[in-house]
Amino acid sequence: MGDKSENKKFSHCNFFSKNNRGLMNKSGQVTIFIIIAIIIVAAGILIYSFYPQIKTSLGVQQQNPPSFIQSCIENDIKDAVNNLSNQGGSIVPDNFILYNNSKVQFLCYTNEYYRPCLIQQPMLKQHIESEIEKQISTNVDACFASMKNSYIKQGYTVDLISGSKTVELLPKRIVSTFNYSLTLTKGEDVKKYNSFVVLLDNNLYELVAIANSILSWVTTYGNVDVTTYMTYYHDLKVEDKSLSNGKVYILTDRNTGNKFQFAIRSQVWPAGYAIPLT
Amino acid sequence: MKREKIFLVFFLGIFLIGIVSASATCCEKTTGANPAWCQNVNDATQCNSAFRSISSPCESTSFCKLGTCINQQDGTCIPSTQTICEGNNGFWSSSQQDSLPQCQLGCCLIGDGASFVTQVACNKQISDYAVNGTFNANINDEQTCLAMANPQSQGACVYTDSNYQKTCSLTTKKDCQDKAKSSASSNVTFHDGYLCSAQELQDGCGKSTQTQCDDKGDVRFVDTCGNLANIYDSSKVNDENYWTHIQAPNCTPTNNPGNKDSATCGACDYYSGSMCKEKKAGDFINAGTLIGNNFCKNLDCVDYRGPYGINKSTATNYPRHGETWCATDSGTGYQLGLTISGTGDNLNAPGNNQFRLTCYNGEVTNSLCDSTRQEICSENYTTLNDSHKYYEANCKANLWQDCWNQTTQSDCEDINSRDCVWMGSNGYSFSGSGLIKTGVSGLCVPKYSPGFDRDPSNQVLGGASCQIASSTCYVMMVKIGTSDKWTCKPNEDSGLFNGFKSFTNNCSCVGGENNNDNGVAWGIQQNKICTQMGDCGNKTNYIGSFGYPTSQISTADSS
Repeated sequence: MGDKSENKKFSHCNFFSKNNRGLMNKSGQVTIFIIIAIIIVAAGILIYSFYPQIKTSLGVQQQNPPSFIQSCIENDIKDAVNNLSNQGGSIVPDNFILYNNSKVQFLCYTNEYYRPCLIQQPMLKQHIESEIEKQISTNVDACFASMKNSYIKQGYTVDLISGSKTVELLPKRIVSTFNYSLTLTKGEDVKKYNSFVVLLDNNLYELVAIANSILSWVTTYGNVDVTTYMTYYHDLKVEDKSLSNGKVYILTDRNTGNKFQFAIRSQVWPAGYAIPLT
Repeated sequence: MKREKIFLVFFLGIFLIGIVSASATCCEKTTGANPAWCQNVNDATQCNSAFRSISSPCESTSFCKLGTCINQQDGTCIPSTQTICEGNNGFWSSSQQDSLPQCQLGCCLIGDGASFVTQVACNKQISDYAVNGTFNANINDEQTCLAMANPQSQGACVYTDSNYQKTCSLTTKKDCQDKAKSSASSNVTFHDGYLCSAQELQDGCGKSTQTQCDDKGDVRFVDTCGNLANIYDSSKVNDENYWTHIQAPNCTPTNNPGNKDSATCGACDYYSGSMCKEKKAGDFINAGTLIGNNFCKNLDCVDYRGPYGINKSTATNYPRHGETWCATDSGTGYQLGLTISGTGDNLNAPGNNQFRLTCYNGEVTNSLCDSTRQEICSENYTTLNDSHKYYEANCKANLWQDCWNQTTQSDCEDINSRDCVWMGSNGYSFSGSGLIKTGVSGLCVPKYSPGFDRDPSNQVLGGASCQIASSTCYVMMVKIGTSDKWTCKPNEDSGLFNGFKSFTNNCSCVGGENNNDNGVAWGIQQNKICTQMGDCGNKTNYIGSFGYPTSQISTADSS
């Protein structure tokens, strides 16, 4: 191995002598070495300056496990929340009305004319939490598997034990907790994580509370005046869109733009003369 | 004979409806396109066979009886049936919400806010928001409760932080006492009613020219430490006293409630139509120099130029924040013409809808009353001190159903009972199956014609309304001598004519004796009644497409 290296060096020097560059070669070589040195230093500075971006683009970014999970699953949670918010809290609505190409779940429904509706989902908050859990469950497992592989590639011994996944709607945020146990070992270095929490800024908690209030009102009185809610809650926009077979209620937080829409069929008047049942 | 048939169908129809109502089936869950819990259906095959069903209305079944579903985690109560509630892990009680102690509402004061909820919900909110709170069961209306928000007095909490710097935060006495217990701060003292910017506190916080929106929607000065100070008043930006003690502003001008777009005062009022907002490019500010970057933004819909009242909204007459009003639509957008007393033809055109428009937070939104005019928009206004007509509108039920039953104008136009108008009848009145000639001068018709709908198979729903206003006139026409012209002779004994052996000839239907307009004038008159009953007769629709005549002339040759 040492010989090979020396040979290389030798042939390298020969290259200049073979081309008869003479003494000029000596000063020229110095110049070239200086230029090379400058290039190396400049390259070093550039790499140092843009290291995080380079790391990211090469996919070798070193993240701690909680950050890895947060960045891996955050968009999935956002997508799930957006879907659920447009579809009345259900991933796959079964009793729905079409509005702006979204299937909006009926949360209060009657198939009869004149009568107030009957609540179809009395535990709306818990239902949405469970739907988000279901929607992200597969990807959560994939994220943990991906993280495990990433650390194995970095020379860690990884011990990952799957646990429960919970999603909770809380004021101004959605908290997803994954009780996975992770132990990373590299030589003497042992790092242990018992749960991972992913936070998402979102007002779904508040919007669901308003939705429950509207549902409660509608099931008792048949209809609701949406301006009442805008009078009480200054940052809230409430719209009701009448369609042929029900109404879609759209709740929007004016500050954050967070939205929740759901459908109700209540106290419907028949066209022309009535028949008692549809 | 035809008349007899119509009567038969009508009474038979009522009979069948009675049978159907009595034989309703309650499905615990229905099947089909709209599977729903606890629905009454006509046809038992609509019930999902995996669930229970019974030939009885849902109200009288055990599994679909309405009770209260209690969410024991969140402390919320909502009317629900046992099946739905327990299927979603709720606790169901057959009692109504009002009679359940755990569902009694009270006032939950949490932090600076308040909410009208149950005690369990209050405890949950205190936990969710991670703030101190109390529950007051004696307050039993929401408005009183919300008005109690932020009841705790505040003051300057001066302390030495973990970096050994003396600093201050504006807080309540209790929060300051809690801070004293924390190891992260020392030398904690509370100065009730003082602002952190008070010079005498020597806490490193002072006056600034910055402002911020607070939770109540007011503009507040902010001190150099980032603490809220008093409400923004440009005349007091350098007033030591105003930066020392917590005090109310004295800057509200009488001619601008809520200080809309004010450059000088930050006492906003949501109910007067203003709320603290950050100033953005293009925002209008009244005369004066705005200090900081927040102001009481005018929430009125000043840029709206659609229908409003009896005119379009203008730069000087625009909807105020919180105002609601009515409009109708056409193929080109919202149209004017709908006022509380309006009954223009356009209101009754097939496809025409009535909307309730709403102005909130500077934005106009619309709400369709009902696509078949079973609900109509009703508006009223009050004149404000500045002469502005402030509209309030609602979608209300269109009470047209019993118009045709009314025989006097006073009963017909009793606005407390129905939405009908009295119109000239040309001697006809309703019989239940069509118009018959009785010689009366007027009849009662819907003020707002109900629209019809189509079912999924494109069949018209509600068209029976038209049947009530259908009319037939039998006329015997004769040709006299060698004339080719048909003429009407009154009181002819026709022998046999369409089943009637003798009758008084209805020459008025063809323009009178010795005349023949083919029933055109009579048809126009009858059409007026017919079109008023619904989307019936020859009618121009809401985008201006003309209808076509539906009158027919049938002839029976007796020669």
